[in-house]
Amino acid sequence: MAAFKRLFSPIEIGRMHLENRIVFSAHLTNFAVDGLPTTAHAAYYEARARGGAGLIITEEHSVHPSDWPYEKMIHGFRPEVLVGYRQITRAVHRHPAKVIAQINHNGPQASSMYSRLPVLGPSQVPDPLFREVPKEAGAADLAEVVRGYQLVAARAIEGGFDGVELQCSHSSIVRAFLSPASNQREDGYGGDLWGRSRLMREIVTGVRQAIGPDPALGVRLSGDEMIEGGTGLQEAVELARMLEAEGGIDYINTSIGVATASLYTIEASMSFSPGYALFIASAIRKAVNLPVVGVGRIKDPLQAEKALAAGHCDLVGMVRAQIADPDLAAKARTGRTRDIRLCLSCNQECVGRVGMNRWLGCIENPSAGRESLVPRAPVLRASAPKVAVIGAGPAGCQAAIALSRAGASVALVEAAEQLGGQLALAGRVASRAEFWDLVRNQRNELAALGIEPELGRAVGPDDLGLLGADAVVVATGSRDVTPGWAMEDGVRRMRIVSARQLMTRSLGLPSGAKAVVYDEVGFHQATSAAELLWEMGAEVHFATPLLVAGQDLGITLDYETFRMRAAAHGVEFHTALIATGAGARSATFVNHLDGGEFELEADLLVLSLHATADDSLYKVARSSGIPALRIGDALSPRRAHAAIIEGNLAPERVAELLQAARP
Amino acid sequence: MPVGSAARLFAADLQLAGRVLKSRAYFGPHPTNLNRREEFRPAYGEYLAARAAGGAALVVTEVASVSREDWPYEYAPLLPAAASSLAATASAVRGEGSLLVAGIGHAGGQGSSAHSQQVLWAPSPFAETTTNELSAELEEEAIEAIIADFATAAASAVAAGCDGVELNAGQFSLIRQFLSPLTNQRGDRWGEDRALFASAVLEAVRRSVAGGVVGMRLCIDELAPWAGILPPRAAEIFADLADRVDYLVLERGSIYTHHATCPDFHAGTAFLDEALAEFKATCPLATPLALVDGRVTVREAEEMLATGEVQLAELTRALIADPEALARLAAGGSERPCVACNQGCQVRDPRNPVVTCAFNPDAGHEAEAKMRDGVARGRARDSRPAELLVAGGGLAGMEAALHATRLGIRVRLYEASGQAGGELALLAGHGPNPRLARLLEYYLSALATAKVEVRLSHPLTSSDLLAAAEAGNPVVVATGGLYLPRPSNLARLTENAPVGSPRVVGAAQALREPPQTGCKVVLFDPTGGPWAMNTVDALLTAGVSLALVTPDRLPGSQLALTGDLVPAAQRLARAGVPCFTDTTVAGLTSGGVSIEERFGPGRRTLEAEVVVDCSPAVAAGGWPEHRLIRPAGDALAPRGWQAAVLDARRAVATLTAEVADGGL
Repeated sequence: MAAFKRLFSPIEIGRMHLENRIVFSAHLTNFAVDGLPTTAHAAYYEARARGGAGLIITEEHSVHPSDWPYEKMIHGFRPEVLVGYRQITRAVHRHPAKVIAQINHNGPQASSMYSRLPVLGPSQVPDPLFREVPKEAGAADLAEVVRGYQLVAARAIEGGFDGVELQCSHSSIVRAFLSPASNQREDGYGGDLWGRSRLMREIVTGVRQAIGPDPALGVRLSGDEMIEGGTGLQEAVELARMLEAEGGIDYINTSIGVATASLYTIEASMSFSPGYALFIASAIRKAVNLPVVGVGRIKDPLQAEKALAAGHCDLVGMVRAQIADPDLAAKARTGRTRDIRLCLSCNQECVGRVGMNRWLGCIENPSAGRESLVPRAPVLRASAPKVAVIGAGPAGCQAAIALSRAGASVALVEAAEQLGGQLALAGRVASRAEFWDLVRNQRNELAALGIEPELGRAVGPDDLGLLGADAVVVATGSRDVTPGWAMEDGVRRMRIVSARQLMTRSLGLPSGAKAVVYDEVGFHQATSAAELLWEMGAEVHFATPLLVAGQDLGITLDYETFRMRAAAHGVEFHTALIATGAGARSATFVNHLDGGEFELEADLLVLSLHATADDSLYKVARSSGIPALRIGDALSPRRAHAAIIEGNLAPERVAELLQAARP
Repeated sequence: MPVGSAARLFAADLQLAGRVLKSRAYFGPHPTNLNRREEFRPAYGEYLAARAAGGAALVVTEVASVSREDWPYEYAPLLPAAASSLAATASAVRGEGSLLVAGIGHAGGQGSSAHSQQVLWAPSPFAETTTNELSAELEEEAIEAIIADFATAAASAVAAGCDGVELNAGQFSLIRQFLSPLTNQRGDRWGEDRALFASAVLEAVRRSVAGGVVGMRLCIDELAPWAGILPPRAAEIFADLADRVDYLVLERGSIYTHHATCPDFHAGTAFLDEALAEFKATCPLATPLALVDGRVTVREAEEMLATGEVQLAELTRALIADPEALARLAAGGSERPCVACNQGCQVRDPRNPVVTCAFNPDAGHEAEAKMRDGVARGRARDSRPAELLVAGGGLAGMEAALHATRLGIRVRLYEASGQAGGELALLAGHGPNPRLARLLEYYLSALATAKVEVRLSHPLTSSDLLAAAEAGNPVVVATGGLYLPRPSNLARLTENAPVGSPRVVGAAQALREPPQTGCKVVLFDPTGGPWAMNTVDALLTAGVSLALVTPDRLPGSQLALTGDLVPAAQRLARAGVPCFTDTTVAGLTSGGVSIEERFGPGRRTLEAEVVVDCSPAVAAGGWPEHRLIRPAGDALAPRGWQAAVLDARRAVATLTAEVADGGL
């Protein structure tokens, strides 16, 4: 099958040959320790090179000690990084892929927390995230920065990299100079685009001088900063033309947004359409002959092929897609698209963890970021036990997959008529539909292993023995509890459902009905419920004891877009409220900040509260001496990544249990 | 021994497990981010040793996890895994004649799964307050295993040379979670007797440290009266444990009140007095006691010892701010007082900031400071500058002057206004923190003692600075920042404002000349930081009619670390201040400001006579380029206290080197 013909056609980038058009673009990983690259970097990049990516661009390396915005940044300015550079490049070069180092100075988009130096910027405009007033960079500062770029670029080449990329796009001193929003200078580095781009041009010239003609040199530009008074598409195209005319670079990479102001547009969640930022590459490609990299939530090879076919770009950046499945390229090339573990763009464990200064992970690929750890042994191969997994939500499915891989004979039973547990509900509003890809991915993986889940089979306490298993894995999830305050004498006076019940879409609601969502959890359960309610035509009030409604949507970069959609549907938010009662027509609250009482009229009350683990089968199994493990919500109701991690660790745990049970 | 005004603190008459304490000063456990999970690092040893050398008799390490599954923050140490590196820390501290005790604990359901990638375990499930993560109920075998872990960890600490351990049963602790009905609703023996776990842990630890010190940090009030531990219950609990405990530290707070355990100045001082009285009414105390109760200076500690209520003075923040406070007092000087701002010392944050002090940035960076000052001292000996000129008498200027005198350099300080202190004086005079006045006092008296010539109402011109530098005298420019119209602040809006528009002033101006009572004020805060909240506090005290507008999701968004985030929200709510979050100021109107939602179509006008803009100031600049002229603090880039002090100390060191080099 001649699938993805364009995607797998080679291309020359300057003097660098690439086997295909799939790029693993630069992104933060937090793998660095004490400023130096680690074996985690090498193993992580190598996994994607092994998996068939054409080009890997590493995360940024700081070119100067004045730039240390987050703790685990690679200090390219320290010569000791060479050891790690060589480790990375050797690992990637075991495969046909090429690898480029992204070098950068974040300018004012940085913190003095680690460097204990003032941050540098074009003007004294504080960054909206870091909020530090920068030192206005003088001529000597700028010369030192340019020198830093040269030194670090040369060091990268010495360390075996095939080229260097200059991040001038979403978090960079170059961006700050380019953008009229942060550059208010009146000297030669400010004013019109020529002036504002002077630092960029000096760096390009300097770096090319430092690395010589052979290595590839690329520039990454932002096509729309998505901030007031920022750089827009027209200027980006103009810059690309300017760069081409000046010479020295071999390709242009693209991006959108400002990392410290409009991050939700850079690493957009599943609520954005795939390829949403391709218009930037497309406009730039029309203006220049240099190869252009397009990006923007492209998560499957078909989308990538289409972007190339439409002429939007010459190469396609696919980051999260290859975090979720390092072998995406190889699978696409050999026609195994069904086997690709599609990214959800849920942002929970990649973007969300990295933003919290933690190593990059993935909700559905527990090996992401852990590639350097010792590969797991198939711990159950020798004993080949029969293991029954009860419940086919994310935890149960993952356990079945992992157990089967480890050598167990697996029976997967599920009470409902479908797989996925709560995942099947999470996808039921349009902005969250791609959560269903996790169900699809697990279903395909189970099928590939020959595991056929037995659906519609509820396991009762007396049925455990009938399963005939050497061990059981209880992944039966959780159940909702109606709290005491919502009832009077144990009776509900108004219509009350849990967010979970609402998401089954089995509920009828008259148009214009007043609905109150009460949220104690702070994540997508309640905001999706609100979204479903306004879709159903309800007038929605959102109440929460938290100080910010939907507070953890910030982690997945859904906060802004949710608030925009909610505002468009007239949702009213009420924070710091603790629910105290639910009468016939209204819910009552007390404000925990000032003690004030508050009432909301309601025809329906939707509760998003912490659920209770449904671990009764686990307890039965333990008391009857059956080796048993509980995972996911059945252990404690949490988010999907925890379910997957625990499912994935089931083989080791089952092996321990069987070991302990042996007479 | 010269004891000066700290006679009781210096009394070496207290023994713990047969060990004589050289003073009554206790330096308690706190996260520092100086260590790693399996390593107590040398920088941590230097940090503790500096406090021990300064007089702390009982030093406790940062609480180490006793079980691998407990990983409450990235750099929380783990025992026994980190025990081998603890030996060096122990000898650094014990080398100063102080005791080193290992803080040990288990955060239970108040931990984090981010690093362990495992479920949080608790007596009964509850949601962790910051992450909302729900814990799972511990099973019998796991409980027994954790008790054994406590014993193993304790033994490893003693084997590494520690004098004993301090068990954490206070904030962030599984032991407290077992003790409290708030977090323990178990039906088994661990729930029927909620103190059973604490008792079993204590028993196991006592056995494992043999003759070593066993201290206990206990929660006296969980601030959750509907279910939590209250002082009388805390007393009952302790009464049963007392015979196995060598010293007791009482603190408050639990799952909903992280911020109340070691709060900032807003909480006041001696805030445990009532609770302690109730505690003692139930259980008379014979155990040496320390209190975490908002008393943060040596002077307050001395007073507290004088009452006889406590036998140990909790001086953690005091000694972070000024490791030599005791020694200074003993020598008849004055301490550099902690102001309880919590802006540098509170580091339980995913970004892993290193412990330090807003006014003493050398804290946590002892090696760098020692090197910097050692070199500078050496250079000054070779070729001492005749005189250092300091332009500007704010925090950076005063610090530069004092620091130079420590190197034996003569200093003249010029201040344009009629008062030294700059924004420190402004906030001390008009802000909500009374402790700042004491810090200002310290600076003024230290300048006088050091014979710094201070000239007030004496601005220096650029040519004055150049003339001094040309004559070989180094200059520190510490002239601060200014609130000037910039495209990035609200003053820009005044340009095309309609007639009758409100006046736009910076936060400093609003503090200097607060609007009159009843004046309609809209405060715009794009920073979310303590400076803006100080301004809010001051304006509320002035009795203005206030509304707050912020582009952030909540007011004071950056205050989580100082502990003022929730209290600030409470103050705003109780004062009835309307808060417009996720909102920006779009323009000025006649008699008001027009504001707009960031994520919605909402746009409205708020009545206002004055708009207070908390956007930061800008450096005024304008000093001449010369190798003997260095800017420091806001004059370089307006940042904060810490940068001002650090810049000043570094500028003095750099200039000393420049003078010495120039002399070659």
